This record gives sequence, C-alpha cells and structure tokens, in this order.
Amino acid sequence: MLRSQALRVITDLIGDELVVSNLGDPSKELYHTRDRPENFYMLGSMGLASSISLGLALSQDRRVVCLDGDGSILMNMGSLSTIANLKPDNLILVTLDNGAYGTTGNQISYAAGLTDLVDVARACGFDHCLKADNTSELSEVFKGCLERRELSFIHATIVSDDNKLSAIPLDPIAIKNRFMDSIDP
Amino acid sequence: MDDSVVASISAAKEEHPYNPIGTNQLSIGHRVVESEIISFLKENGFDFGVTFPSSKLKNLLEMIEDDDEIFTVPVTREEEGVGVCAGAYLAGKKPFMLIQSSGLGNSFNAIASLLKTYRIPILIIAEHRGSYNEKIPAQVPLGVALPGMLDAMEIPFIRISAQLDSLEEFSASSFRDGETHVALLSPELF
Repeated sequence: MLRSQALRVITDLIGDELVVSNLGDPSKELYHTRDRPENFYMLGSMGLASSISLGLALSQDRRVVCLDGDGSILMNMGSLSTIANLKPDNLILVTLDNGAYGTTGNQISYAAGLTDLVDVARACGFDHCLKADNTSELSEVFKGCLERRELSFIHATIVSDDNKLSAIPLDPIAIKNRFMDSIDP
Repeated sequence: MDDSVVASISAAKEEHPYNPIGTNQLSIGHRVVESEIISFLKENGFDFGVTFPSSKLKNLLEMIEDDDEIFTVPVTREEEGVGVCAGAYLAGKKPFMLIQSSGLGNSFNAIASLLKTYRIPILIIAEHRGSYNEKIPAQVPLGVALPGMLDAMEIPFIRISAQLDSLEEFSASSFRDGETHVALLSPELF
C-alpha cells in the first residue's frame, strides 16, 4: 500500500477527529490529500508527533489520530511507555511504517531489521494493537478503532510514493491558530 | 499554609520538643519553598504539568502529584515532555515542566523547532544543577554553560536563588509575548 493510499483510507473515514501528522512526507501528503483546520502539520521536531498527540488527548475529549512514522517512533520510543501508562481512551496512534527514513533519501530504519514495532508497543503496555498490510485491512482496522473508544496502536506497512511532494504553503503560526480555533472556536 | 506543611512541622515538633526545627530543618524548609511554588502555579492558572525527577525537587514532585488541581504527566525524557506540553497548550491548557536543568540540554531542538516555530509558550521550571555545591562532575559542564546557551537560543530565563517574588511578573510577561521561558532554581533555595 502506498502512503498516499493509506492516507486516503484514513482521511475518508475521519470526521471531527484531531490529526497530528509527522514531519516531512506524511504531513505534506496529508495536506495534499485532505487539508483541514483540524490537522496539525509538524514541520520539525522528529519523534514528537506521539507526544503532542498525548498532550492533546489528555487535555480535551475529542479523538486524536496521530500519523507517525517508524523512524520517529524509534527516535522517541519512551513515548510509547508514557502513552500506554497514561492510557487516554481517545488516542489512535497510527504508525506508517516504510522501514526507512523516507524524507531524507530512504535510508533503512531498524523497523526493517529486527525490531517489530507492534511487539514494542505491546511490551510498552498497549493492549489494543492492530496490523494492516493493505488498504482493505487498514480500512477495516481504522473503522473498528473509530467505533470503540480505546487507546489503540495501528501498524500500517506502506511503501513511499515516488512523486516529490511540494512543501505545505502555510505559515506555522497559521497552522497553529486554525488548529486551536477548530478545537475551541 | 498547606496541610502537609502543617503536618510536617507538627511531626518535627513532636520528634524534637525542645528544638522544633532540629534535624528536620531541611525538610521543613523544602516544603515551604515547595508550597510557594505550588501556590504560584495555581494562582497563575497553570493546570497541566510534565515532570521528570530531580533530586532537590523530590518533595515538590510528590506534593504536585498528590494535588488534585494540577494534572501531571511523568515522562521518560524531557524532550518528550516538550511535545506533551505543546499538545496540552493547543487544547487550551496552561502547561509547565518540572525537570532538572540537564534535561534542558536534551530539549533544545524541540524548544526551537516546535515551541519557537509555532510560538507555543510554556514555563519550564528546572533545578539548576552544576551551579551550586554540585557533587556530580557530570552535571557541571552543562550547568555552567546553560545560561549562555539560553541566551544564544533567545529563550527568556530567570535564575532564582532566594525569593520567588520575581517569578510571577517574569512568567506573565513571557506568556504575553508567546515565549517559552525558563526558571532556573538554584539548589540553595532548598
């Protein structure tokens, strides 16, 4: 499944959920797939998408969907421990795993090696861990997570698209302001 | 005065009837400073805290964790806490971090690329290790360099070694400017 296909599946299913997207291609792809004020596009701070999502999930009731990557999960693995122990029931953590650092030239990550991120999440304390290897599995799994209210970890195996994505033409302050307004207009 | 402070003073009095301060002087001192910090946080609307252990902050961390008015999230690394605070701020909370200064060193890129880039103001309260009577050599290089590093990063900071009085105005004006700001607490406070 291409990243663009995975994002299409997810954006077709979401309603008023808040979405935090990882820096680089995931944010650009999300912007080009379905831009909305409820998307918080990260422009840097690799690894912190899941942490920002946790802060959001603990501070308001609306559901939060985090679109993270394998390299970023590896960079801030402690975050999985914190999230699993705090257990917010309104957080869905989606790891788009291409086994590589896609934005910087597809250098292989350890997620393509011996490290199984679903096992890691489970060992950190996530009870509800799911895998999706194609678009129909992802659709089914993501729909299931939206229907129940429980902390969830979804591992989606993807391959990066070949096309070069243009930068998000939004100022960071604009991204923040419209995101905050969409939570509390 | 906070109930736990009263309790700790009466416990000390019971233990040392002729010298109420006695050997518990330090622990009484701790709780007074710590009660002041908790009052400052509450009076200024801080309702979401991220914590990471620091030896001199031991009592404060315990008291904050027991306090129902302030929600706290213990993290595994301070940089992670910068992300958690940013998320809480986006949802309308007024967040602070309670860490040791070594953790600031772990957080500089997150402060720059997340908090500065999006202008997200949080208050970071850090025990300033390596600045006073430090016993651990590994704390010294960063502790000494830290004020210069904060200056270079244009992160407003204040160093507090006696009274907490200056903290309120410093924090209020930094918030007005949308700036993440740092209060370095000297270990001699405790």
